[in-house]
Amino acid sequence: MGVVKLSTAGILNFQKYSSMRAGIPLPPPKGYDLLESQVLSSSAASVTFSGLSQYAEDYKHLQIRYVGSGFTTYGSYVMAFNGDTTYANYAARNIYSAGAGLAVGIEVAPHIDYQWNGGLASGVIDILDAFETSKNKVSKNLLHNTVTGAGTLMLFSHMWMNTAAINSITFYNIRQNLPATFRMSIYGLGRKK
Amino acid sequence: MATETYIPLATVTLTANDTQVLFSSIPNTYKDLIIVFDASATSGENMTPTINGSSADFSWVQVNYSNSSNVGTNNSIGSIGTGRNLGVLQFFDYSATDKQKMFTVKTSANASDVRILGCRWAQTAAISSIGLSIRLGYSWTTGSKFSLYGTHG
Repeated sequence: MGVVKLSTAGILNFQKYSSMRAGIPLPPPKGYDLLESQVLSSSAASVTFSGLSQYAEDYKHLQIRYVGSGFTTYGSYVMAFNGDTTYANYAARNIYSAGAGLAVGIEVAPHIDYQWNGGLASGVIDILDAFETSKNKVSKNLLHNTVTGAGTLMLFSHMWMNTAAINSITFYNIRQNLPATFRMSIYGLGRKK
Repeated sequence: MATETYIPLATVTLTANDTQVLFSSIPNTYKDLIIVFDASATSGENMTPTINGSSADFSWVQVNYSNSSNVGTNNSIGSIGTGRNLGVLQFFDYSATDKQKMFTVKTSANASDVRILGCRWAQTAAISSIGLSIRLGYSWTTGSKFSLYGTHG
């Protein structure tokens, strides 16, 4: 059978495609991308992610995942946005349990975690609408820390009463350095493109 | 440079009742592991995970739907019912050998039981396998689905 050009074959209702993907549905958008990670080779006062505004066009939300071992004492963790460490600009609420009932906490502070003693700590912080400029910034953290036993489970909420887009995040414990091997990773969620 | 993550590593859908779902030979190329399941059991009981074949050195703290909480020093965690159960387990720094392992568990059992747990496995070995069973030898039922994901970090 001879080869006939489509345009001369008498078929009038045809469509040309320039892509080999013609007719194949596009893959679903992803939207859970690692942006940056820091692993401490030695203890440090804080971890900072800066220059986050470069991700504003690509993502809606941010997520931080962290884990550390070797904390030596108790103390709150601060999560400060854009270098703002003024306690009055933040509000925090938490629910927690060490296994003997539930308790709650209310603070005027940029706190996002509490280390009940030395030992281990882990958490997943979701920062919602991180780059919106029409709303205050709200985050939540489900965290767990422990010394030698079961430890404490907490659900933390954190509000920064500022509508600015987030450009930097600083994380530290008010009573101790973050220990060596502490790892903190930041992810972009809800890809826009 | 953003790196796509939350990588699907394996999915198991049971074609017959089974007492254990096992993810083995887990690559050590990710930072965190996440297991998501939609499953049911032949009888309501706690879930009993094993790590690297071990059921020892577990401890946990739990809050649940009845506004109560408790702790344990065993691997009997969460709650699985005979109806539909949804769950998420997240393991932090699972391939590290310089820290004990922490993981969180969230389960909802047939819309009647919700639990959140913070768990600890007091060993520093890298996690290469995770098994999920049900206490007292009960089984996961046909159609139960378990997916394992890895995230970079």
